[in-house]
Amino acid sequence: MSPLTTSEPIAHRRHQRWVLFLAIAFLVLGLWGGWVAIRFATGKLSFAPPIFHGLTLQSPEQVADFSMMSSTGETVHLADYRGRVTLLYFGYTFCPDVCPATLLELREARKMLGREADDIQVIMITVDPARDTPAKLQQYLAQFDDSFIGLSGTADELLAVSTQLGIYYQAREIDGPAEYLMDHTAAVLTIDKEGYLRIMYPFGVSGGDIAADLNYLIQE
Amino acid sequence: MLPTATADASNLSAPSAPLWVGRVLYTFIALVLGLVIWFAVWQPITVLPRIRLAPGYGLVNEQGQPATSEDVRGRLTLYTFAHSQCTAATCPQTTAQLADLHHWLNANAPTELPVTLLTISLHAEHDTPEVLADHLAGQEMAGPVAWHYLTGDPQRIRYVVGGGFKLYFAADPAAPDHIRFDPRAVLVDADGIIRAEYRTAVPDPTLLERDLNLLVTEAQNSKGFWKYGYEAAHLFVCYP
Repeated sequence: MSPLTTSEPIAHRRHQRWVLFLAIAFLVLGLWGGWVAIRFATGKLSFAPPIFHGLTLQSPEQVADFSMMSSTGETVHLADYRGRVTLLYFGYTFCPDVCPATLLELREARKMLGREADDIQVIMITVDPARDTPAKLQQYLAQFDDSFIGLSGTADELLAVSTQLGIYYQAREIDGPAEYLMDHTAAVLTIDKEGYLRIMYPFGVSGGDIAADLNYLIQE
Repeated sequence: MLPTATADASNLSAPSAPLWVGRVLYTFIALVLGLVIWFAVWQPITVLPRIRLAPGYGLVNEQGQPATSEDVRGRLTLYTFAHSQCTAATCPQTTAQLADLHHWLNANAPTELPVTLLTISLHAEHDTPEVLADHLAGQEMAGPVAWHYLTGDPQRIRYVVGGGFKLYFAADPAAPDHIRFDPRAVLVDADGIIRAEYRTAVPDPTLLERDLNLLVTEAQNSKGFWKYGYEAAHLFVCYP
């Protein structure tokens, strides 16, 4: 028998194995591609690497824990919200425009997340504890979303928390029944599920952009 | 008897489809790996770390005007720490040294982004705006780089300096006007993020100039497609 003829069945079997391998590979790829397409269509996946719509931070330290009185009347700790993405906002109920606008965007972000909205928590810390009692905070935030929580602390507690988070606030006297307004940094701070400050949104970022970023942080 | 196929040279010499696929795959992997290694080794993009948020504050300057953390957004800010009673014997950073730093910044700071030098008084109980104004009389505070001394509520300054900038300071029990602290200068970018800390009395001019230029370059170039490169550098490349 010619030595050449013994290699033909081997080549044929090799060819068959490759065909089988490629068929399985294409099947797996097809299934994976279908899964990717569904997640992409439902907004749960983006092919672009995560470029967030706010300032990105990579602090090696978790946000220092603190406790304040919540609008529900109990003392809560920031650490109580580990495991969820927390959006911290410093505002107050007498705020004429910036705070309502921001809270509306956060409400919109929650709506766009659908079922995954349960994985986030919006918290507003009042920079006007003299006027914003827990009950007042509760009433104010309920206008936006029942899930929003308000926190109120002593002057020292507020100073400590706001300073470490880069938040400025100061009373400014005005003519009128309100007597004073609070100038304050209008940023939304996003803390990931493990307690690291990840994103700071300046005023004006849309709820849609925030929701897109939250999608990523929730999936992490 | 089964027919036997005769040997056909073309079956043995032509590369099969799977071999061609393998070559393309290996070439692609080699290209990607090469790109990653090039990015990591040659570091075409260098960035300073995003350490943490700079503290928020509402203080007053030596002219008695309000000075808040919001005022320096959009500017590169170098925070330093001293007080009016500092001498070379009692303080690691004196106003005279800071004046030299200010002079150097006026001559060497980049012009593409505004730069501000701020000195926070660590002895706010003593350093009222009037005291600071008197202390700084004769000092050139203006220029391409503005320099301001900040003071305010002592408790607020304690939170800003201690809690925000993580600089411990305390009055010497034997001499209350002597404030003990370690030398520190903190560079904050235009977004209010701490990007560098210098733990010498006066930052090394070479390092400071490099860092200022890195921040300016990043602010100018981290847009569009190149933003991906800068974010990748933050994630994967070692800091200078």
